Amino acid sequence: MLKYANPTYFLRLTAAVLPWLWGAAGLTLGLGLYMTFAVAPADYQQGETVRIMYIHVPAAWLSMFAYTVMTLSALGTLVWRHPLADASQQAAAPLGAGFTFICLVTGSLWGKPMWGTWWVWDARLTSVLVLFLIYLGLIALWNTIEEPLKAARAAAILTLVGVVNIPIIKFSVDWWNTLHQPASVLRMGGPAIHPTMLWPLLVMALGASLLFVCLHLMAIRNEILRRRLRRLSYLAAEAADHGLEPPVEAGA
Amino acid sequence: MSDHAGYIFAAFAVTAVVVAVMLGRILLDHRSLTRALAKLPPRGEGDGA
Repeated sequence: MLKYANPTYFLRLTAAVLPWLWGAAGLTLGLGLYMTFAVAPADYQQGETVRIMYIHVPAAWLSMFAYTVMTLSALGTLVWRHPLADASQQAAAPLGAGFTFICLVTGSLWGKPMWGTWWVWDARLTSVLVLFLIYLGLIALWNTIEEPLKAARAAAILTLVGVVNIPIIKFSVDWWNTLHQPASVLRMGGPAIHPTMLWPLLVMALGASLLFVCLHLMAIRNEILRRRLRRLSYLAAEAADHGLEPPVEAGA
Repeated sequence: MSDHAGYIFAAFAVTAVVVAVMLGRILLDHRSLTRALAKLPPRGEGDGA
């Protein structure tokens, strides 16, 4: 397990795995888009507008999934103080913000023709907006604190505080009266959505999840390289100050 | 497609743009990091942290 958590091994492993993951993501998203526009029927009430669901719902799931990944990484930072957990936290925040933004905008574009309004301050929409603001706050925190270890710990604590918003998002449609419809896929009693719409949605969700994994792994690789660059630059500067030979990294 | 084709197109277009921005940002970041690392003195492989 420790071998897989080693940053150098992680770089080697992801370099080998990423092309396959990108291929799988591309194929799945291609199939999902084909099913969205050529296979899935129009809704009897919403008409063609229901096709927005095939990107809105996966984006909504990913906005919460990204936060769950950050929460697990935050635990890795605080409990094990592992550098890969720090990198994972930092890498996931902009992606989570991006998918939450997609969720909010596509929801608004779906809401206008169906509800007659771009936005309402109901519990579901507001709690997702709060999630987006938490992501922005975490990104700002990472950029504000210069020392990476302190930034990782501060971000981990804020992430753990903010995780309370995830069940609020999930159950907001059950706990309060909302304009947003209740869950129709992840619910007790099974999906309420017809299979001709469910399968394209699941394929799009799988494709979007693979896309997230690819982006997250690439971003983690960048964070590892950034830490390596920071350390080597520091060592090079220190060596130059003392008139020593340039540094050679351990294990060379 | 329907009276609401504009909303559908806009939703997919926004998604494509946001995904492209996220990917582009990561690729540019990677390029600048690898260039900066290449400028440093030759080195072996360490723990990478």
